Amino acid sequence: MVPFLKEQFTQAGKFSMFIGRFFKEIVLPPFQFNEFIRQCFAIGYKSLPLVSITGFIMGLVLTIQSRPTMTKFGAESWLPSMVSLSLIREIAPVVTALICAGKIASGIGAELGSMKVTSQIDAMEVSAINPYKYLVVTRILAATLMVPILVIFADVVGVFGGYIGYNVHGTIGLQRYFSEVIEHLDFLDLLPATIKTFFFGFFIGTIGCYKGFNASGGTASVGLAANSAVVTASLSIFIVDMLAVQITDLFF
Amino acid sequence: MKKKADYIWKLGMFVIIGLAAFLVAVYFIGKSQNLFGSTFHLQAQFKNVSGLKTGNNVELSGINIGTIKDIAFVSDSAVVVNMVIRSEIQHYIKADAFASIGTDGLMGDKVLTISPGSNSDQIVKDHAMIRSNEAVGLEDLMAGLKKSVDNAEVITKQLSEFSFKINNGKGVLSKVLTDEHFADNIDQTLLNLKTTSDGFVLFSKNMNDKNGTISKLMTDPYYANSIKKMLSGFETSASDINVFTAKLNQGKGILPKLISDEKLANSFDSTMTNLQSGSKKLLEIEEAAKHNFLLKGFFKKQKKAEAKQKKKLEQSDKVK
Repeated sequence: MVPFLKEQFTQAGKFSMFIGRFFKEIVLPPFQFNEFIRQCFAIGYKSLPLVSITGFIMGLVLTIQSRPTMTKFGAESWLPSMVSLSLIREIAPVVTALICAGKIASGIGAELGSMKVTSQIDAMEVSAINPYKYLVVTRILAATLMVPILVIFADVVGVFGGYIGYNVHGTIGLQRYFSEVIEHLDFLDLLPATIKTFFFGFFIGTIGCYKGFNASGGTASVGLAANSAVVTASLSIFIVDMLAVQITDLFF
Repeated sequence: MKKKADYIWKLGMFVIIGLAAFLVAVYFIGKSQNLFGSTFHLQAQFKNVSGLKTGNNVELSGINIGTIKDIAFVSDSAVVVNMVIRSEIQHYIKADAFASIGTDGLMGDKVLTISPGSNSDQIVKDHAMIRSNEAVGLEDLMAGLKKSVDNAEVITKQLSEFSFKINNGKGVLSKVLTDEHFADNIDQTLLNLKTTSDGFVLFSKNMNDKNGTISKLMTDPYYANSIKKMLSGFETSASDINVFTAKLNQGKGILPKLISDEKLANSFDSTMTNLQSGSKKLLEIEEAAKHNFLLKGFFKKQKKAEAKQKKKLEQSDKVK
């Protein structure tokens, strides 16, 4: 029992040090700007189709699924605002973050893990390139900044999907649909949801990098690192989401 | 480097579109809450805002013109609502406009409605306090309803008591409604009334008959004349009697004296006394005569005859 606990605490301590190192490295001057842009492209732009399709389907399905209940209460006209509220507040951030956890965290974990296993990271260190700066900082920063933008895309596409879903049974003009969505939206719906996506992105990037950076042993550990990265990142997204919602609820 | 330029514009496009979407959303949300554009402020004081919240809409003629900015207490029974309204609406709101709190739909959000006043030409000023109409809260409605329900309860209770008494009591009404005998009586009464009225009809018919006495009395001028004559005759005799009694009262004949003279009455009285004493003396004389031998036989005869008469009467009684 004690060795197990000790191991867990060691893991937590190592992870905390990893995060601490990230904040230390990010303020120190040589910044790998080109690598950062490349990672942004890989994380953000390349994930866009996936996120858009998911967001669209979520909006569409949510509208169609909510309609019977709303009709029962005679509140069919509230459907656009209800769907957009739940999309923007909760569903789009979480679903997008989970998709990104699957795509980005596993990618980073596998990439860094294989580099670690094949001693490329050691080689970098030898050739006077800070591997942490070059590999980890750029990726975490890119994930932190790109996931929120992906969530915004998912919001827009998801609300549009809701419009399509509404028009499956009823008819509503695009302008009226969006004005109804905007009318019931508040900054309190948009801003906390946007802020928490930065944390989602940060944890996706950090966990992916940590798992990859700490892979050890043979090639089997690469797969292990990728798998562990996805699981841990997904779990951390839900935990962060819960904390964020509670904190938002506390203050507003 | 060529490869870098290939993807960098895609990344830029991705980021810019994402940020633009975010900014557009922020702008529209802000616009719907009147955070942008020129606005002016109005205030209204309420006793009870019944759930109005910051951010609720302000309506004029059913059009959304602004939002509630804040709600603050000014005393224990007064709340000031501060609202932000679009500037271009300002000249439609006059100084005597008043604010009231309603509900958007049956279950929707609270809405502050500004209603135009009657006859002011003055445009409302920025930060002005406008009048307010207290909202009819659900509690007031319920209180009113409760009162009428209570009243209805009392009324129905009394009504039920009343009808119970009617059904089971022994009063007149109960008898009227339930007693068969009474009904029969009424029936009989009505029947009697009917025959009476029939008789009356006949009677009046007879009365109207031209040859009847009453009809003649009513209509024949001859009768009227004779009645008139009779009445005048009565009158004259009455006046004669009047004269006669006056003479009686004042006259000096025997009759008036007899009626009114005290002296005469006294002398009459004494005469009567004298007469009384006279007759007494006469009885004494008669008694004396009975004992007189000369007259003894006469009296005896008389006694015998009396006894005989008596016997005869007794015998006839027995025969009967």
